[in-house]
Amino acid sequence: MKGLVRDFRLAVRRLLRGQGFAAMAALTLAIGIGANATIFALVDSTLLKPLAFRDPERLVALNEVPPPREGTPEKFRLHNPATPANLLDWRERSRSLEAVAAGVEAPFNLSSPGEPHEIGGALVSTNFFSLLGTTAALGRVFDAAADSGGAPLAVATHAFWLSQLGGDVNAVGKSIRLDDEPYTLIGVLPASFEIPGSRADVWIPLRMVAGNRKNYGRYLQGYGRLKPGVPLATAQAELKDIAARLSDEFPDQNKGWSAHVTPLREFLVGDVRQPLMLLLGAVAILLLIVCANVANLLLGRAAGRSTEMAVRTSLGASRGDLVRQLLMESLVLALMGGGIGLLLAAWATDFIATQLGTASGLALHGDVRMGGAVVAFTAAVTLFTALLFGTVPALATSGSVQSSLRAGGRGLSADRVRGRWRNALIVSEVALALVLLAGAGLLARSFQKLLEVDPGFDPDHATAMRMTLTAQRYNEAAPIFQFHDALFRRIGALPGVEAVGAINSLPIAGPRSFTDFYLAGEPIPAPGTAPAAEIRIVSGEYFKAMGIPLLEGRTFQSGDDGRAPRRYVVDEALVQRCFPGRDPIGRHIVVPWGEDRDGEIVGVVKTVHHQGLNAVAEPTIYWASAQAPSQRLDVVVRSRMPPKQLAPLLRDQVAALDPTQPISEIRGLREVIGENVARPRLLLLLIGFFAGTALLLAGMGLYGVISHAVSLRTREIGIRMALGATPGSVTGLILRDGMTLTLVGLAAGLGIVLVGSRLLAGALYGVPPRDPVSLALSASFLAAVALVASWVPARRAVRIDPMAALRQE
Amino acid sequence: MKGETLIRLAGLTKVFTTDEVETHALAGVHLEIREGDYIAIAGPSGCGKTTLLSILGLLESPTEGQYELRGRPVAALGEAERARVRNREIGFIFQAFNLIGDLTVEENVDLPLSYRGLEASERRQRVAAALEKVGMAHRLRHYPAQLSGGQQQRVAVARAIAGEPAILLADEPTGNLDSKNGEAVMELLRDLHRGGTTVCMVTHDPRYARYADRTVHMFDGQIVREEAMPAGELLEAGR
Repeated sequence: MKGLVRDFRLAVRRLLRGQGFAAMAALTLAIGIGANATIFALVDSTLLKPLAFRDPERLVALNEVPPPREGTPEKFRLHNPATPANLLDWRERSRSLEAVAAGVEAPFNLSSPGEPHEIGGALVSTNFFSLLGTTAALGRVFDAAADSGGAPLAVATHAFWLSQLGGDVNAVGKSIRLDDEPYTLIGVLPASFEIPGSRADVWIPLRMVAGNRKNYGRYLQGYGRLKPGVPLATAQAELKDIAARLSDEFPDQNKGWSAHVTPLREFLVGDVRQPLMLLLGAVAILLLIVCANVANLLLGRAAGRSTEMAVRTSLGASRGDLVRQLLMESLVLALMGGGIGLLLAAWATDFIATQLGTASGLALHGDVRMGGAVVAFTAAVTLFTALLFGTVPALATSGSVQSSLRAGGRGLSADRVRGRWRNALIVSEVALALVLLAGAGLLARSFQKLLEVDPGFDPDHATAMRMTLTAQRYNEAAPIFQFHDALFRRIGALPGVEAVGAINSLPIAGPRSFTDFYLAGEPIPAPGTAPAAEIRIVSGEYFKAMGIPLLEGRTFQSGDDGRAPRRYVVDEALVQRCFPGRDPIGRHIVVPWGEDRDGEIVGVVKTVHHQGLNAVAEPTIYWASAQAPSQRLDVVVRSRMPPKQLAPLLRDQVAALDPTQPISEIRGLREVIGENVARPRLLLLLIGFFAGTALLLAGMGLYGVISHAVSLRTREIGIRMALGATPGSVTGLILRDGMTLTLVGLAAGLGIVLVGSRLLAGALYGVPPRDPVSLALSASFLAAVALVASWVPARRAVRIDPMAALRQE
Repeated sequence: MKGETLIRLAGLTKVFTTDEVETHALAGVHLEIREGDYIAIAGPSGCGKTTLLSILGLLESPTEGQYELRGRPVAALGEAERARVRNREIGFIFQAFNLIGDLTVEENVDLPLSYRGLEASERRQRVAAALEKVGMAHRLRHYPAQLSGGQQQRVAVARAIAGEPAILLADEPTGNLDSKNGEAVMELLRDLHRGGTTVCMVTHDPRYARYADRTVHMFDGQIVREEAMPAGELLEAGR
């Protein structure tokens, strides 16, 4: 132990004396370790930290699974909401689930306390909190009696209690107004309560009536708690079996539908797993490159220490003693790097949490900060790093020491051994740098393809704002229609406004809304086999405001109201699927919503990517708001005025019409698209940053190796020049060394990329994982950097004075 | 025990092979060193003196032949055991001093003792005694770069004797010193020898070879002549 302390002290002193080297190595290590700590902090807070519920491993998400449908991503299929009736049946019939609860998020207009504004909310079954094992920090949560009539009750989050109720300890029992209705606050949830991805601030009871099968819209998220000791697979098999029976018993609603059970954590954060794992892989590769780089620095330094090692050996140090001393120096370096890395990571995680947050598209939850797990991880990475970069130099430096003891002895064989190690390390660096560069290249090409996707509308010069009309005052078609009409007239009169309209769910940003349909006059499809389409309710000059071109027929007119027969506008995708080569105008389709289901197609518009740029554009049916009033509306305004300037004017118009009506999310459509591609952009930026760092390190490493080789070959080069070698041939000699190492590294890296690129497939859009263009560009770029890194020492070799070199021992 | 055989070499050869070229550094060396001997190995550059010293110091292994230390063949010793023998039985003095620049005088002298795992207090005593013996006790906290060449070699001698080895191996110990400092170091070695230390020194300078009581002359990897120093010359050299 004393020996270790002495070694540690000496290592610190030695590094302090070689400040330039120590600073360079420690900073390089800090980048690698800091990047790993940062990404691990994200992984820890998102994927590893247990959900703050009782026995969270027993919590599951329950979803219905629609029949397979072309173009529907698997994630959407397995995470489809459920009908209230089916959820109640699952609760009734399941033997593997201890409890089943349900919930749906919906925004509320909060009109008291404070100014009216929209807040996130959720309706949940009364056993929701008991299923999670959550109790209130103040007051109580819902019990079975909560939905039995009586005064409406509400439970608030800790954040809502602080921000809206001023942290009033007497808030329980007070009234808050949601959607113009008074709710009695019965409890405040603890600060630790968090459902990743949820925006709900206030929770109200959801009424679920057993036996009511009329409402078979699928909009509820199911939650379950497994009985102790019941494996997930058992519950999955049981629920599938129950779903199959329900399909037989109620084929109209359930034919072809099944059920899926997902661990709750997986359900909530599963879609960020892949990008986070990719980032973790990228930083691991970066760390390997960093280790190779620092090992190379140490090997370069080793030549100057061979005499010391030989002296120690002659004084009785065993190889183990030497390796221990050298590893201790590596450990001190790694600790310095780890310390700085931890500081970098603290800054980076803070930046990601505060600046990027949800805009990053990574759906981060909880506090992304440097907790104990991150510090422990960083410490482990630091130790591992010390071993990784310290072992090779320690072994190479501690071996073959004898020749160094002779006066003037150069230890040529040791130089050769170290040279081989340095070459191997630089080849590894180049190979790994190519992996990161190729990854960044693929993501860049994918991102470019994504940006090239035509969303189906013109996102420039268009501003959207969201509002949900209060059910109390806008509970019928007439007031809703009047509000729309008046609002559109007021906004339309603003200077520079070219068109204004609204939709119940804005493309890309809004929730999904699907419906079955079939062609009128043709046989009714068997249950579960009908085609499906997005369905959207629009009003005003929506298509013009969005810049969605009309391809055929007309858009909605003032006569398309509740008194007129149903009329639909459909998109090109629906026409291609249902009426290939035929004129769809005047044809009828049946949408099983409401009583009078048959409607005429009056127009065809361009297909819009409702689910995001990277999702397949589904067929869409548009329906006029005057025929299907919707309280939720995303107003779209086409104007050359920037969204920030337009926003206060829009607020004024709404306030003038209804001062209690809150609005939210006023932003340009360009911004909406930007948010949709935020995740791939962030992934590209981060992996691009890591790849750039890797490129820099590989370039520096190669420069170091070639420079060292030139210094070892000074005499040889002098002899060559004395014998008539031209500067060109000397340059070629050195470049050949550098480029040979580079080419070997590129070949190895290409092999790794070809084998491992499929891991990236899920994050790519429109680009194959082995895209030759991306790979060729990455390899060429890396080769160019390597050429420059070799060129500099080659030029120095040319300037060697032959006479001075020949006089050299 | 004074006069007993400390080292016996029989038919020692050493062949270095590099790039398919064989160099015969030693070609059948026979030598016996007794306890208390002061032996000088002399010869021209490249005759194998330093290789022989390296083999004596267990830093190299012979290609063929027998090497016995205190009657025990060393060929069979493992790496760890060789390190232990080097540490306890052998003290090295180099032409280039080879002090470690990052360590103080005290730490340099302490180095072989630290590998031996002695208690700190005992190490401190031994370091102080060794430095006292070479007249460098007042430079305890200095770094090698703060010392003259002669002083550095004195510290190197202190480092070699701190562990009280059975034999001191000195490789051209005066080679990097001026004549005055060279004489001083030779005086130091002579005093140590008089105190009972066995010394084996490589030198190509006949002036310093006279300090030894036996000189072996090497040429082309072989011992070609061995001579004992006449008592008169010994006295002359020791004056």
